[in-house]
Amino acid sequence: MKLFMSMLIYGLSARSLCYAKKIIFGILTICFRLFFSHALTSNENPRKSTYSFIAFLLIVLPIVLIFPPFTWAAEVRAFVDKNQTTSEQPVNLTVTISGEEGDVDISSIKDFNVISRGKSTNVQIINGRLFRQISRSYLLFPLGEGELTIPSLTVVSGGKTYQTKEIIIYVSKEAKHHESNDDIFVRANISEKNPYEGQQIIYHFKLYRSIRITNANLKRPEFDGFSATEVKDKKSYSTVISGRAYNVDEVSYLLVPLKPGELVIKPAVLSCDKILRGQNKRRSFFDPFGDDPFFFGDDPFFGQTKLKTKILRTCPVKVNVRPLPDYSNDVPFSGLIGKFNIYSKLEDEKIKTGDSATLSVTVEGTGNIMDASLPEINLPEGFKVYRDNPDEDIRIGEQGYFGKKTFRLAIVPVKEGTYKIEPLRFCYFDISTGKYKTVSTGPLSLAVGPSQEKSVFKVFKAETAEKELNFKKKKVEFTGHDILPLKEDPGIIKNQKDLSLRSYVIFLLIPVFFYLMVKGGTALTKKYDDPSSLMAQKADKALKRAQKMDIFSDGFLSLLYKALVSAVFSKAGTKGESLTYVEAEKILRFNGCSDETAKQAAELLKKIESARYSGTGSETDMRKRLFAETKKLVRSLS
Amino acid sequence: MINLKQAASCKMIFIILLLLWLFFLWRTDAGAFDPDKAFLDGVKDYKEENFAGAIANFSKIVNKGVKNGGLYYNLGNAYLKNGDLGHAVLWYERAFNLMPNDPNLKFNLKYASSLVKDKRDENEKTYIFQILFFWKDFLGTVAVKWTGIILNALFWLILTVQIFKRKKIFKTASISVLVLSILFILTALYNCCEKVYIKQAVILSSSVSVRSGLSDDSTQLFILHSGTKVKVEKEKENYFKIYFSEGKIGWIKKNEAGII
Repeated sequence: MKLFMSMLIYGLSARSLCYAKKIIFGILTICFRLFFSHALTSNENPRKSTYSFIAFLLIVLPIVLIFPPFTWAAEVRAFVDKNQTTSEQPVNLTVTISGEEGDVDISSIKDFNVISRGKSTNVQIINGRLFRQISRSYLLFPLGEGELTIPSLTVVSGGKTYQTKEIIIYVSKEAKHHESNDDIFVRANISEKNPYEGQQIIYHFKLYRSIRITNANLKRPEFDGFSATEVKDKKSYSTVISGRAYNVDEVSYLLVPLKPGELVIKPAVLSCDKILRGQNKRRSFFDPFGDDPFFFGDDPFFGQTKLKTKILRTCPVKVNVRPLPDYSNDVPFSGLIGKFNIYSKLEDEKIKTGDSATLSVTVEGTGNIMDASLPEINLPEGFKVYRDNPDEDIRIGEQGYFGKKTFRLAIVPVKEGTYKIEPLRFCYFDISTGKYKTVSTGPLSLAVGPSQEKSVFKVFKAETAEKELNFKKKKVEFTGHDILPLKEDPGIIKNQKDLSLRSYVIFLLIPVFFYLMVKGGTALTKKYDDPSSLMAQKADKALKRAQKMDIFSDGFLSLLYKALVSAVFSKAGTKGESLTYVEAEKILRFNGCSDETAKQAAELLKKIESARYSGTGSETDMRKRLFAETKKLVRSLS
Repeated sequence: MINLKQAASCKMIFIILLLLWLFFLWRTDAGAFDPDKAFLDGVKDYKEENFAGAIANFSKIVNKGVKNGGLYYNLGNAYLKNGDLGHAVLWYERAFNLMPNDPNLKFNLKYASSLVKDKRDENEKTYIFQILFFWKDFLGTVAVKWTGIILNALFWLILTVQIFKRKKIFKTASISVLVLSILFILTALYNCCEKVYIKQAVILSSSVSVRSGLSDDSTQLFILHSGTKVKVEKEKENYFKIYFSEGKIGWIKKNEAGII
């Protein structure tokens, strides 16, 4: 139960714990006043005081027993593993906070380079008392020699501020150490120990290793007093020192001293894990000799290897920054420090009035080239000048920034004549000589002829003008960010028409119906164009006319003939006007009619023809019979 | 006496009816909503930098059931100017569904999206579907629909011409157009299905904990921020199961996201 309550209390947040302490303290105070104040102020029966004391114990004891004794105030301590060290040996600083979580401010440590090693928490129950201790560890690398101080550190815990005690560390010079004996070591150097203010120098950090390492982590120096840029190209190569082969990994920083005087680049610190081979190394199937680092033999997870943390530190590097000498010259100082050259070029040496010529001025060299500006140009009178944005081709390499910056100007003469453009003078600080140096471009001349516009009307061509000006087009960049405005068309408050699935399907089916209609229509039309149908219609029409006509009229028998012949042709599927009875019989037989029908038709045709031409059909009955037979036959054939 | 009583009751009924009529008249007047006025007020509020007022006025029109990309765009603008990135992206996305080729909308949506804190994993796979059916996203749903309709009409027109004139060129053309029209019609149908079955949402709250389960006690898996677009995979109780990127799936409360 007690342990449970302890855990419960310690599980609470710091603020809750603080409140809990206050409540318990309050209860104890009230109990004390209730039971003893009366006894202390009056001279009542001592037995009553004894009862009060027993009652107090009965109430207070459970509280004391249930709630574990708290650490009423956090205790903060700082200690080191040694207070005498060498400049190469780091010191372990531990700050312990008992009770609650806390933050340690290590910014006040100036004499050491500090690397945090993390924190650990320790909870113990000793004699029923629960202790909780948080330890924060730091690795301190001395930045000097002699008596160095770890100042009083500020620790904030549970809303309160605590101070640790000051610690003095005695740092002696490091005994000569032969790096060549080491498997792994680091070195730092700079390309120029006595640079001028503003001169770019290169800081090299080199890791020499003859063994394999892992988890390498470099903490670069702060480079106080310099502007620092990391050179992106990291190098890895092999070298031999005192007969021993090393792999070298090199990281470089481009530094520019910002002020004159003696500056110290603090040590760079590299932490890594050395991969050590175990005694009982198991030979891998793939690596029977155990020397190939790509197989499991050297792998820290699969092989019999161990990791050993190693912390390496470079020596501090002193830089004596020289101020720039006083400047007195009629050419203004460009502010460039390094090694530079300047040249200029005129694209066209002969132009006409109103045309433009491109004058390009290029500053090239090594140093702070990006700060270059166009030197003053004294053009003769009568020129209009249009400046373009300069082009930069600047890179960072072993010698620092290098490259060129080209300024372009479009110059437009307004008068004809021959003009001389004076050389451009440019002054920079030459680091190789330690003096200011003035360089200049060569003289340029420009012959300007009369404008063609006076005699010839010239059509303006945009492309040609652009070519002549030789302005390099640049990508348009955003100079500000905002959104485009509202849509103010009142039509947007109406529902936007959107095709529903049903409408979509209908839209898809409309052309299908159209196609089917056309197809159907043509099919119908085709039927009427059929010779068989046409001849059948003709036969029918002839019969109808014959029926309406007087049977003794001249055309009656002709119509019967026409009706019968058309019916026969209809059966054949061809068009025609006349037939002999023999042909008619053949056609009908050929087209699948029975012999009887074919004979009937042939006989009837014979009768009609003889009636028409021989005059035998003049009797009424005969004509009526012929009509009836023709009608019957035509109906049966159609 | 009876006549007097009847007269009194008639008078009462008349007064009650009059009052009722006046009440309904008042209600009708009070409830009348003029979308034109709300729109003009919204535009005016926006110009006077009263963005909350603009949001209120534009929202009134939207709440009346008006579905218009331009109106949604205006709402997006008002929300963005009011500092509510989540709602701004939501309305821009809704507008984008209706007018995917509007240049102003594209510009503003791109700008709003640039303000969104959550970045998708760069190495996330480009699905083969997106490569094969590139026109789906390139043209937008409306354009795909109409292209399908036009190609379908063209196909049947060629067939109709073929009834009268049979030429080989018509046959080749009809097959090509048929293939294209089927492609676009199927894409349009897929878009319809996608609209119904695949829901997307935008995170509205400034910071949303995506959890492993349907309760506040569930483990927080990752955090998303306002304006981030997610896919809604499932709805359960008061929660959405969302998919952000490969491996980033979890549950969020419904009120923390808005369905596009």
